[in-house]
Amino acid sequence: MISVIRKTGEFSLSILAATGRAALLLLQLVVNIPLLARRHELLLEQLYRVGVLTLPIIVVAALFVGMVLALQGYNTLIDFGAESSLGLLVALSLCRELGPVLAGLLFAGRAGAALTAEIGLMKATEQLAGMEMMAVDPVWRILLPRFLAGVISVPLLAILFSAIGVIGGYFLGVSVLGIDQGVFWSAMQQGVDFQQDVMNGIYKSFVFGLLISLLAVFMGYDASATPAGVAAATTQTVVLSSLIVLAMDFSLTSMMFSRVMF
Amino acid sequence: MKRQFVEIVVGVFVIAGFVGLLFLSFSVSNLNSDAISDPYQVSARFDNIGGLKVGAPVTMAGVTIGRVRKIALDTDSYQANIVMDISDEYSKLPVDSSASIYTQGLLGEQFVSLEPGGEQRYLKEGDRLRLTQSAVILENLIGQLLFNNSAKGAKQ
Amino acid sequence: MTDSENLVVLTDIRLSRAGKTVLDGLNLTVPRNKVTAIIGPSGVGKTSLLELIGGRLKPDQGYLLLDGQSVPDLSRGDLFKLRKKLGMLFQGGALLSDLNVYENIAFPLREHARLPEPVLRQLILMKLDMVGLRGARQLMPAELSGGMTRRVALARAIIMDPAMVMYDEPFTGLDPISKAIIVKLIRELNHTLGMTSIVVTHDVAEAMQIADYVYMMGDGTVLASGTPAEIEGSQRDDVKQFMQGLPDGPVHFHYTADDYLADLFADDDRQ
Repeated sequence: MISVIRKTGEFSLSILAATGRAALLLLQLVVNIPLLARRHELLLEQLYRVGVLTLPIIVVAALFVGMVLALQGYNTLIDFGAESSLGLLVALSLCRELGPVLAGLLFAGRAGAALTAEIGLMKATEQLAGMEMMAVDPVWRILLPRFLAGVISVPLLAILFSAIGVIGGYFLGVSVLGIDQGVFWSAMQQGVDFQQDVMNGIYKSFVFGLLISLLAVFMGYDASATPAGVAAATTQTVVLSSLIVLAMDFSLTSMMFSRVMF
Repeated sequence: MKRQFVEIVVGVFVIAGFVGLLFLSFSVSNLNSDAISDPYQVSARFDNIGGLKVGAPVTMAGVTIGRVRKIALDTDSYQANIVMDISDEYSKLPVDSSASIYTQGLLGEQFVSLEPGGEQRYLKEGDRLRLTQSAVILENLIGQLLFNNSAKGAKQ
Repeated sequence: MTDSENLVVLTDIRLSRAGKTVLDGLNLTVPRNKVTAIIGPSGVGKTSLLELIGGRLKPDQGYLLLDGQSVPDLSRGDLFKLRKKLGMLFQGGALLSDLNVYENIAFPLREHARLPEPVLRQLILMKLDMVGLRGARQLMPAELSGGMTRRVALARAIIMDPAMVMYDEPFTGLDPISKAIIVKLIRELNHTLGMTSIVVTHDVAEAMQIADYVYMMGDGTVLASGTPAEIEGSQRDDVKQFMQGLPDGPVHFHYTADDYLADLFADDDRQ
């Protein structure tokens, strides 16, 4: 009984300590941004590996999600005679929620895991230590480009997800289900507010990008320098990122989309 | 060579992102239709504005000519006072035009519809519309219906 | 105050890691321009010693002076400045896996010096030639054998012409030919480039071949020190056990355990 309590206490304390370390790492990363200014090629390389290489999965997923939204939405709206609002439904669902959240989740699974594994392995093979001994700080040389690349990429990927999803929904709704093309777009355009819907979605994705990228590089940097340690860190990145994205999504949604108008 | 490839592809990625943003802004959302060119402001008072919201369209003959800019309670008359931006494209609106609040479709958003009057003088910045018709409140309608029904029933 | 004779001075060092005392009452000096070997059984704290000197660990007690500067007290910026004058050869080589041999060696130069490409190239090729791998410069680390990896790491460690190089188990896991190559390189480079070298190893024969001065470690401190001849002639039991490679002696064969018969006839492991 006592050991259960003790273990829970130890576990909680270690979580707190890890969160503290992560916050300190964020501070270190931000402080080191000027150092990266002269070395754009590092950021560029990571934008490619982290952002561009996640594009295929984003595009494919967005198309399918858009089409499913159109299909399901049609099935429900037709009962109310409101199928002309299908475009609006698809666009709002994507811009407000599905674009940022799914882009975040997919990014965490594909790029986040890869970052954690890469950094963890560099730690395990003493490459990070070697770099330190050569008087090069791995925080700005290795971690920062990857972190910034994530922060920049996730909003872009979320925008692309929403845009491609709408196109997928358009294709299914108009070409397959027979909704009138003009009605599809006009109902959408009347109902989707740029500031409220599109920009809020982008702000969300920016927050997600920040959290996922920080988590991914932190877990790799903090991992135990063993094979099991790196594996554990990688899976934790994916799991924790996903949970944090969903939790923050709720929190941001309640702030942004509450019905209270001032 | 590899470096150039990376640069180009990342550039494409970023540009694609911006194109997507433009698409979302102009084709998906109401961004361009929201802007009223050089508006002049006109106000009106209603007993009840129902569910009218800031940003709701102001129409005449079904054409959107402006947007509701501000909604407040006038504490002297206890009426709702709304301020509307009217596009200066439509500068020849008679001063005795009336404003009514209607609902789009059956359950849609509410908007202000203006009916032109007959005067030769036209509305300008700061004018107030005198003739207004409040929004239809569903509960009142139902109440009326029930009242009428029970009155009919009593008659028989 | 810089010691003109000794580059590194450790006084009364005490270090614990994860609750265990690794070093206690350690005194050691590393003379300039010489090869100093630190030998001893595995797990005695030799690598921790290198990490202390490199500033990656801080001692609980004691003083550590490198070229007159107290390493544990340095700020992060000063520590990094100091490390530019050091070279370190890690046990596994620690080459960056996504760069080829040439780029790995170029790494410190690209980060710390602004040199035009042709000058960079010449420096790298010269150092590669010193370790005999000039023709292998396009290979990736994954394509190198263990010995070659060490040699590349060695070239990288000396590319900035450091004042001191630390070698962590440079001979471990190598075939006799590769071992001989590393021995030759350590000796020659130290002499040619006027460096100070610290070699941490448990390969006794190789250590004796290259060292000017030897420290033998055990029990968290220095057990014996002297020239190779002095160490070989030592009459201390613990020194003799290590030098002659005897399985049992002051360093016990058996890990601490309960009474043998009691353990054998107990039904299971008591908590």
